[in-house]
Amino acid sequence: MLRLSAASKRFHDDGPWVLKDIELAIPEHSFFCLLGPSGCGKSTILNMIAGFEAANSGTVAHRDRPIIAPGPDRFVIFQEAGAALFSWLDVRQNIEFGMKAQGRRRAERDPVVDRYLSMVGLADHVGKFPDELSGGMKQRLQLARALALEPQVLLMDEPFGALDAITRRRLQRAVRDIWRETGSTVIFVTHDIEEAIFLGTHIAVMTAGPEATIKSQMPCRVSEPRDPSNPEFGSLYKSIEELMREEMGDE
Amino acid sequence: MFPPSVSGRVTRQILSVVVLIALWQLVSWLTGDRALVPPVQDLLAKLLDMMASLELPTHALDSLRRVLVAFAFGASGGMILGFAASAVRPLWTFLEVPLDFIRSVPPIGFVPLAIAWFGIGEFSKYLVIAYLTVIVVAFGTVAGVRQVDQTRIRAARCMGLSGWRLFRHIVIPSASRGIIGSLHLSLGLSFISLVAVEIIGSTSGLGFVIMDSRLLLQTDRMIVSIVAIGVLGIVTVLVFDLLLRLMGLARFMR
Amino acid sequence: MRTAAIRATSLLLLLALWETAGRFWLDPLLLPPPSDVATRFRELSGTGELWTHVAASLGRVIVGYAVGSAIGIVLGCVIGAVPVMRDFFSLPIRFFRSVNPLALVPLMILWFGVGELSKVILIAYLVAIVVLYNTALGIETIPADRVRAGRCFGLKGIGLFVRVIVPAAAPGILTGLRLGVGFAVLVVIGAEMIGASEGVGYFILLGRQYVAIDDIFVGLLSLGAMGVLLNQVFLLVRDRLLRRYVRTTLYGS
Ligand SMILES: Nc1ncnc2c1ncn2[C@@H]1O[C@H](COP(=O)(O)OP(=O)(O)OP(=O)(O)O)[C@@H](O)[C@H]1O
Ligand SMILES: [Mg+2]
Repeated sequence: MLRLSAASKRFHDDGPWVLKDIELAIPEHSFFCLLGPSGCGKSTILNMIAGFEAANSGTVAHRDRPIIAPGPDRFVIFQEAGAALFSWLDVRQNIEFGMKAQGRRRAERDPVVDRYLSMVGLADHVGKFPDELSGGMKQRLQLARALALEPQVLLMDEPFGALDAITRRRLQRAVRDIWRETGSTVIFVTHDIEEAIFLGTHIAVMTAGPEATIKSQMPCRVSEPRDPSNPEFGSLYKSIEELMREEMGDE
Repeated sequence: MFPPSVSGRVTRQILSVVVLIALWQLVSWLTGDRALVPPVQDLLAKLLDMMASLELPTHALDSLRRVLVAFAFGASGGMILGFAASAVRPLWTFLEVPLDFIRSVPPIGFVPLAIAWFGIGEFSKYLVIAYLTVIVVAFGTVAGVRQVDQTRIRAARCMGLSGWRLFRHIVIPSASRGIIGSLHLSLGLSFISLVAVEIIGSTSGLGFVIMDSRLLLQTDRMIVSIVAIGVLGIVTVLVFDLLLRLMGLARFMR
Repeated sequence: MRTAAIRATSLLLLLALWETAGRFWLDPLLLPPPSDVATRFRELSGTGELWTHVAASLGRVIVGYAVGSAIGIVLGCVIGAVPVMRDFFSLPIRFFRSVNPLALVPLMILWFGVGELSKVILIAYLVAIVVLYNTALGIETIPADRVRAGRCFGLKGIGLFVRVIVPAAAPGILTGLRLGVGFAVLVVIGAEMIGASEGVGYFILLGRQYVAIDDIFVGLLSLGAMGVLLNQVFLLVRDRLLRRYVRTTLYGS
């Protein structure tokens, strides 16, 4: 369980509270989608879970241990893959990087690298550098690099926001399959309701900031296929859209 | 974890100046030779001295005149050459290699040649300061013109522009970024060339004062002049940028 | 292909023009034609005189450059990585960067004599300043997510610094190192013209004193060749050995 209790955050001593008394309980192995209007603090929540930012009050804990620093048990998939990948390492070296940093031996690393290379479909591109990959391939590389450390929690901040619709759909499927296969917990930030319903086992909607909180939290148990042709999908979509519209105001 | 506050930052910046001066005073005291490493109060006294006797302003003006005259000619020449070479491609292919080679020779190398050819008068000084500006600006202009977006030219063609009007309204503004960048760069380089011509074979200018102080072992006078030429360089480039901005050319700067 | 042909022709044409001008229109003592310069070059390199000067200059440049870039990289890393240091050093760096490099030549000679020490210190100092500035800038401009990704791998402190921050700042470091080459050559010539008994700068100035313009030309050509050579070596190392560090993955593919 990953838990935020009464977690509040502001960036300056006398600045406004960006997040106020956030209560979140994210079960193990869930695919948790976080929805909310732009600027409400979704990335900030993710950064607190990752350990990049500390809460000013309240607690953020993973398996009952408070989070005080980033660590390989929680891995972030950043939105701008080009910035997050290591431009001086090729595809294979990027994936290997984490295990090397942990001092694991080559014989131990190779099978893991190969496994995730083929899982994300980059096995034919091992020698390429990040600047030689397309946007979707970069994002898959980021995913493989994280998975190679077998983190308990994957944190994704609008990872497919910059991709075209088809690539995006393909990667959503890939992420879902990988999540099923690895059994890790995924926390997925998005502002796309459809994406949240397609992927999630749980969906949380935030209020607009400042002093943003969790407005509503619900399980997502839509049967397959999860697409607009399914009436369950449609009704969940409508109710979430209603929640979001209340927060957006007249916009 | 919190970002350092602004007031702390200013404090640190002021502190750095204080520490720097204190260090200088310490070195001066340790060497025990006021003439060799003059303490700050001596430098300030010398500065006032040189201002009162008009030595500093006179030589600074000489230096400034050399840079400005040479830069004006060099920049115009560079732009004319650059545009001409862009219009007549073979001309640039012809010039590029030799110009690039000349550019890779540090300007101070040309001082003895210029003196041998044209004497130690002002002309040879202007020449040494200006030639690098010509080359740098010509390269900047050619690169600027080359980078003009073809789509933009086609768009303008569709609107019926051609010939001089196409050049005036599309090519020049589009190339301006590259040209202005090269002007900025070459103005800075002009000050390096300036010192080159003034420390070898000149009887005026701040570079001359620096050399003269070396012969007379006047470290204070030398350091004041070194700082003065640095300040002159910064201020000139700042004023140049300001002028460009006032002329409404700011949008072409990065 | 056509470009290469025009270039070759252009160089030949230029040489021909220079040859006729020197031989028939102007005083060959004032504008020695290329053939004379070539003869003089052969003489000077035959006796080894030219190589003594070239070796002297190159030696100073290499020693000063090595010392300066090492200092610059280390200090630049510290200043770039520690925000407090960044604030503290921002004004001093701006001041030292704006000091005219050639103006320092007489001061260094006054302080450290006409020997090798003053030249090496001068080169090292100038290289250090430009490398330091660009290294710090390179570190400051690393995208935040790249460092965060490194921390996700559990790296911190020295490990994060060595494995992520330094390689990510490599483009900035290399920019500084390249600018440093230019400064080193510039200032070594200045120093050799003002106070030295060997070196290409000294040789060129000697040419002027004896009004031996063909010597000046030989000196200038060696100087240009030296600049081109050092630059090419630099580019070769960068693009062959360090190629992976100058790739950019920001904005688009
Ligand atoms: N480093 C920071 N310093 C000051 N304020 C910040 C900082 N980071 C975020 N904020 C503020 O916190 C609020 C929440 O930002 P955050 O990036 O978490 O929003 P978000 O929900 O991820 O938005 P989006 O959907 O647009 O990505 C915003 O008002 C933002 O201005
Ligand atoms: Mg965000």
